[in-house]
Amino acid sequence: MNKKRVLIVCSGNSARSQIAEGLIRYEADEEFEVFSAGTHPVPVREEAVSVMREIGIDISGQNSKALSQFEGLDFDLVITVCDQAREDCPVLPGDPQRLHWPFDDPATSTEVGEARFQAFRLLRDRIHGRVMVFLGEGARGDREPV
Amino acid sequence: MKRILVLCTGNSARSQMGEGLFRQEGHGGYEVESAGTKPSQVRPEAIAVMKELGIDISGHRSKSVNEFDGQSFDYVITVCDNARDNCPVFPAGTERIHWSFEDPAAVQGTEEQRLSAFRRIRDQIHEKVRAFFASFSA
Repeated sequence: MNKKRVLIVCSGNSARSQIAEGLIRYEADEEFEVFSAGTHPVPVREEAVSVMREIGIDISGQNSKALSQFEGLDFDLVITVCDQAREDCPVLPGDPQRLHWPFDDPATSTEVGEARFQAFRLLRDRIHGRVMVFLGEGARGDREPV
Repeated sequence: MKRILVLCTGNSARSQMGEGLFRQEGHGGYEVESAGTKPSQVRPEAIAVMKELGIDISGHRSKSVNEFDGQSFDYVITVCDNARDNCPVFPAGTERIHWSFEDPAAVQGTEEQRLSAFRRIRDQIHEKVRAFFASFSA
């Protein structure tokens, strides 16, 4: 089976899209080839790496990348995970299916220490929930064909 | 009152303990239900290790997610291991949260070994439930 190519986009490619990339790969590596990018990339947040490690998923090898690096490449599906990306996300060739999963940016949280990690954990679990719904829709056949 | 639905496959162990723990930690402020895509029986080990915390789930029964068709929940929380576990999906509900826990019912061995596995998962769920409520009061 050919893997579907998925690109996950947010502004920084530092937390939300990195977490979503790790979760989709973890849950459905056999179905999807997953990439992520940002319209204004900044380094991957340590908190994101840390809370993913807590559930046994290693994203320490993932890098923050500019969306422009993916110009000219085809994707079956583009998922935007922040409002910023929805506004900035350019039209990609190949007319990919688009999904929008809005999540607040945890990196803007003013919390520090443990409370900040809790914000990242809650974000991780919310994205995980959305990913499971997405995969479940595919399994039940009520997801649009990708 | 906010409504929470805890889902796993069998509604026999993880989601049953989750229901009891959400109800306990929610202090009456939440209406909590649990269900499974393939309901079976509430595991006696789940009842036993919850009793150790003073939480009585002996009156729970294993229910099909179909019983909740058409109902709306504020939070739908899935507690199965991963997608390969046939984790159920509930179409309604505004906030979907996923927590991966191993299935303690999959542990074979003596009764003490099985209870130990249930205690470990019970405590993991308890920690997540506490953090869930703490995130609202922060």
